Amino acid sequence: MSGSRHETAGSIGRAKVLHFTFDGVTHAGFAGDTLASALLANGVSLFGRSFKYHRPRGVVTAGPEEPCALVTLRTGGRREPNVPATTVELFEGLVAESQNRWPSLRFDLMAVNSLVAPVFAAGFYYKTFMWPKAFWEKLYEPLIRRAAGLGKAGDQPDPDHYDTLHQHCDVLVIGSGVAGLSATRVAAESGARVMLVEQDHALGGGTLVDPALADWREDMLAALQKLPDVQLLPRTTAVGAYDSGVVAAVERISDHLAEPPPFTPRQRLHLIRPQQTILATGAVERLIALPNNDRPGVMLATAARAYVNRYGVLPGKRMVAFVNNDEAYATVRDLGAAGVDVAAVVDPRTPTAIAAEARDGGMNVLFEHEICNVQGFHVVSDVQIRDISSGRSHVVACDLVCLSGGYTPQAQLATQAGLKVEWGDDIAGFAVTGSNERMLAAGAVAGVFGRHEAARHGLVCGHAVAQILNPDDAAVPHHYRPPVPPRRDGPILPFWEVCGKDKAFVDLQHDVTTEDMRLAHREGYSAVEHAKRYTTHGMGTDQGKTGGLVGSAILAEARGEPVSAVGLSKPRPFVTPVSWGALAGMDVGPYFKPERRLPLHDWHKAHGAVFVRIGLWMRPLVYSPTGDTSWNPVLAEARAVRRSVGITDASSLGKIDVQGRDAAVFLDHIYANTFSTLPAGKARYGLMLREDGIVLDDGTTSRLAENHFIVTTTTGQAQNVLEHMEFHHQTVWRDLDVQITNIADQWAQFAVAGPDARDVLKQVVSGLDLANDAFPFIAAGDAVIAGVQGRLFRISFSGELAYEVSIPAGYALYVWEAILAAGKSFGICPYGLDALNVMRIEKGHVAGSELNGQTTAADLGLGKMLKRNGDFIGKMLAQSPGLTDPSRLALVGLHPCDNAKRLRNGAHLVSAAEPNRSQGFLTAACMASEGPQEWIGLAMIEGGHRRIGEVLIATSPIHNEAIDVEIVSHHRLDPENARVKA
Amino acid sequence: MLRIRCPHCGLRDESEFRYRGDASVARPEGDAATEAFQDYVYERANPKGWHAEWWLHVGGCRQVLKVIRHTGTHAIAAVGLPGDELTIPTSRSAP
Amino acid sequence: MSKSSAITGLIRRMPVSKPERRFVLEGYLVPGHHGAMGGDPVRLRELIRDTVEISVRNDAEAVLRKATKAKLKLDLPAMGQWRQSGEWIVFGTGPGLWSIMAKPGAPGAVAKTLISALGDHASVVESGHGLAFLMLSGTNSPHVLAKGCRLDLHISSFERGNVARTIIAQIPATLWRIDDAPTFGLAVPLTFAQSFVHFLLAASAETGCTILPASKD
Repeated sequence: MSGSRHETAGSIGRAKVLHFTFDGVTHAGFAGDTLASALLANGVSLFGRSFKYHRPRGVVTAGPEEPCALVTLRTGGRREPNVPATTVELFEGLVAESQNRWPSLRFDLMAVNSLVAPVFAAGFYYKTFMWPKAFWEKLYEPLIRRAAGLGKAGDQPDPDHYDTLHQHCDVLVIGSGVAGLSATRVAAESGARVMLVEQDHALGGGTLVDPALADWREDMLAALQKLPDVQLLPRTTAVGAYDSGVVAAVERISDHLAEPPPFTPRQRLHLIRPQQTILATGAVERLIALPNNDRPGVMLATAARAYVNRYGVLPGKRMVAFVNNDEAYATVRDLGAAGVDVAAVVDPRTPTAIAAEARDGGMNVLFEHEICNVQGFHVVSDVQIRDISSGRSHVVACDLVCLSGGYTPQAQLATQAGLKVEWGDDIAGFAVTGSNERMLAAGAVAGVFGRHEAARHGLVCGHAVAQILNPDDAAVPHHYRPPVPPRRDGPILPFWEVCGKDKAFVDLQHDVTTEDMRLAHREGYSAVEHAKRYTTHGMGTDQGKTGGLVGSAILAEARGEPVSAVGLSKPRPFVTPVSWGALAGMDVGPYFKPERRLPLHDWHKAHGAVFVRIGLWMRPLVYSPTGDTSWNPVLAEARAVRRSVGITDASSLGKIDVQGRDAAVFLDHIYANTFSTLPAGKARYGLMLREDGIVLDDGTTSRLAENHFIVTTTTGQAQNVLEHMEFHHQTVWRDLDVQITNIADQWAQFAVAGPDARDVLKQVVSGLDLANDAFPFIAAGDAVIAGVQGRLFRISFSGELAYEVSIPAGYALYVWEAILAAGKSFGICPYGLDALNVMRIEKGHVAGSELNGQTTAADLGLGKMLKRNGDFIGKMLAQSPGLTDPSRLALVGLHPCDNAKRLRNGAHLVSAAEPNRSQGFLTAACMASEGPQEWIGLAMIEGGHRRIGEVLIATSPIHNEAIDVEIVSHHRLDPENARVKA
Repeated sequence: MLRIRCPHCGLRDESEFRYRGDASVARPEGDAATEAFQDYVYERANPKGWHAEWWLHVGGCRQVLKVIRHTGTHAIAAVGLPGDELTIPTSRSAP
Repeated sequence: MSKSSAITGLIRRMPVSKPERRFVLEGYLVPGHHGAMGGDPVRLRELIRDTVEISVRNDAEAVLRKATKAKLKLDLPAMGQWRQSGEWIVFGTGPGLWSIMAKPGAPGAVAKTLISALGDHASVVESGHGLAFLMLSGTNSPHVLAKGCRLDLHISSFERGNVARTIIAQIPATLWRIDDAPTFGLAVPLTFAQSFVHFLLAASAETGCTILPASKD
């Protein structure tokens, strides 16, 4: 094949010359070219090497269905493999490289694969490389990876950004050919909000390859542009149809530019929620499986027509066409008119009216003939043409072979939406025959072939949708003509394969041959889905758009059944490849999930906090302005609390306001312990179970008034507990008068803890006597703190005398600083999560690592909290045998026998006698802040506190450590609670 | 992606809702036998077909909805409030 | 020097003399132009507001409506609607649920008024400190919001007087249409506010965004 530029044909912008490189060679093209058309115009015929056999490949199509001409585009972070050259809009400076060749495209050593082809037959991975197993990773896979494959993924960060747009419309039209444009216009003129998406940069679909339709197209587009509420989206591919009528489409906003303009995304994912969708995706021409049908220079007929009529490129000098339908004669006519020498038209049919006219007009049409072989290596040199009845053949020299095996409706989105797709003898293909309450198909995709017919069908579908949206409206009059007279085509002849000695491909991208399909059947993979997986037919970037049905037909013949009984493999999303960037949109890097920040985040940051992300929250782990990452700053914080006073930001705790006549009754249902007996002005530690008897959460709940409670939850379970309460209130205890309001963000909450906490708070709290008998442990109530109306709770997680201060968040910084100022003379120290964790381990309080969704109240030593009377969530199943088994893992404390040794979270506890049987594991470990300098931990162990005094081995194989530990009570510090009550 | 027509908020994306399980089971009275609670927590019909289920509209009105959804096709036949008696379509497949 | 004293050394000696309610996004919304130039920028401003959540008691909505009308001369709007009533804007946010929004005044004043008028018929809970309030205005504001908001903001389905609770950019938000500029009001949880502003600035970079000085008015 030796392509060249036609002097006048096409709609490219010849005034603008664009330079680009392919495999390092600089070429020139014009604005409006694709990379493929520009390369063809420059005489390039070899685009790449095939997947398995490294056979030379050219360009087969002029669109996204391209199986062969895949290139790697751009360099650096924007490098992108496996892009069909047929979809790349040319831009100045474009850099493209061919793929899957080594060392060079013309001389590919791996082409030897072609000579050992039997090894690479379908299923060869499974058969050849199974044994020995170790060889797979070390030898086979790297070998296969080098020998077979597509382009290589980039390894640098993508410098561009992407976004998502949530869209709504009355009518979504997918495809802008004659059917799509007609449907869009009718729907829009009925007053509907319409979106039209088109994968090409130009609207018009099939009209773009037929100059006779240009005026009609321009009239339609001009009319559409005048209508309000019509959104035309070129460069936008609908890639998936989902539940509830949702359609996803990717807009390539900046792909046609060297790089996106400032602040402009590279691509955008549109998530479209239409009332109605009209699918007008047309049909794609399919190949014929004949020996060596993959040689560069073998091209689909419509593609050749597009190169001539749209891009002004002659894809060859002398052509032979092999067609089984009348539509393809238009291609032959147009190529002939543009100056291509038409050597022969090979047609396996008997003459139809249109074919006979072509012959009578002087075209060399060979009826009841077939092409039985294609010669040439890097490019076609000649074809062998055979008389089907006599078997006699002759050779015709040519550099271009145009194949047309018929047209396959692009029904992928319809199938995804659940529409019926059925075989039609008239088109020798599967077309959409059904519709549902949200989607219908118009034009060729519905099996309505012919520009006149498809345009009319588009009008009908547009009307139908307008009627669904506005049943009362009269039909909108329309006054536009179909673009061409009705179709006169004679019947298509289903024609799939010409048998021969050489390979005949049904899937050009994955090198799947007709023999591979038959092999699949012989080996029991006869169902189309099985054959797909066995042979890889229909996989890859093109998803078998040009050869999928051909493969089904070969399978059908092998099975002795009609194609309609075999069907096509199920086309799952995405219809065409989608970049990760488009899917991720704006949710990338640190913004993958939103971040929740404490009201005092900036203060913590300014004071050296090291943050830890827990769920969505950013929380201060420790304040270390000097950057000290040792245990020292943590222990200093904990000791400040133990010896004088500290303050921590506990604002991330869940806080729920519960009011109503039945608030107490409701909380008695929700909590395993009782709240109806709690007096107003008091707080109580509460435990919630799931209905299956496992602990859900713990926290302190206070009664502010008879019918008014404040529930607090752990940070991690805040959302779950809120939903748990709402769900049970609304479904199980609907009759209770309860109002539940989430107040988590309204209130900042600080714990002020340590022996000096009272003396510090005395200075800032007014209107409340803080004396121990006046405001004892578990007291709760309103208080004015530093002049701000807030709430004060005397509760303690650290095990020290402590208060929790609740302040409306807008005053959080003011009050925080006021408390710090009041505590300055006591050496008040802000403390983070690590210090808090040290202190709760010392005290034996449970937290997230013990409330892990597997533990019961009894496991945690809290079994006595479960009330005997009254119904609460989890009551019955908490008593089931599995949850009351005395051998269950239960909470204990432990420390190393040799206090120079350290403990590891997650270490397993084993005995010397049974070193391989785990008896439990460490849930938390830290350096002790007080007492002997040693590591201490909490653990869940079989038998729990009955094991106190035993010595076991804590083993952490990943650290290569095994140390002796002694089981002790988890109440290491102040078991009598004297400190908290001080 | 499902879209659920919340009786309070209108048609909303699935991402605003939290699935809360089978609505065809009801919590037994507090004095019921353990077996009744075991059935309530663990026994599920798991039908292929129409299924009554709870969806909590956490991203909207924070109300629990009863939804009749087809587990095979994701079609939604009805959405109501927790106390509503919704008719489960008799046909085995979705419309 | 011990770590404890290193921290306490940084603590300000005395706090400011008077309790001061802070703008949630101070330092995160710096007035000026952001993003692409020369387009039609959206305008973004932070506000401070007091808000109170009202939940009907005993499922007696009719009684609550009557009391509200009699004592406060206020018609509670239907769910999904908001209306201005004197100094207050009242949002219908759910079945038996309303939010009342007012310019910042004496702490707790709105709640006090409501509790004394309606306490028998509704729970009244303050919420304004837990929210960041934003106004987003301009022709491109629906486009900017659509990058994270899944609702249809077209004038035909979300008009002046409409309010919705939804999720925007994974963050719970209350969204209402104020006028047809169009201007949208937004309230998002305080602890998500900085992430939300990151979203708004990223989403509006394409068209440009003018950040206006924050206001208590």
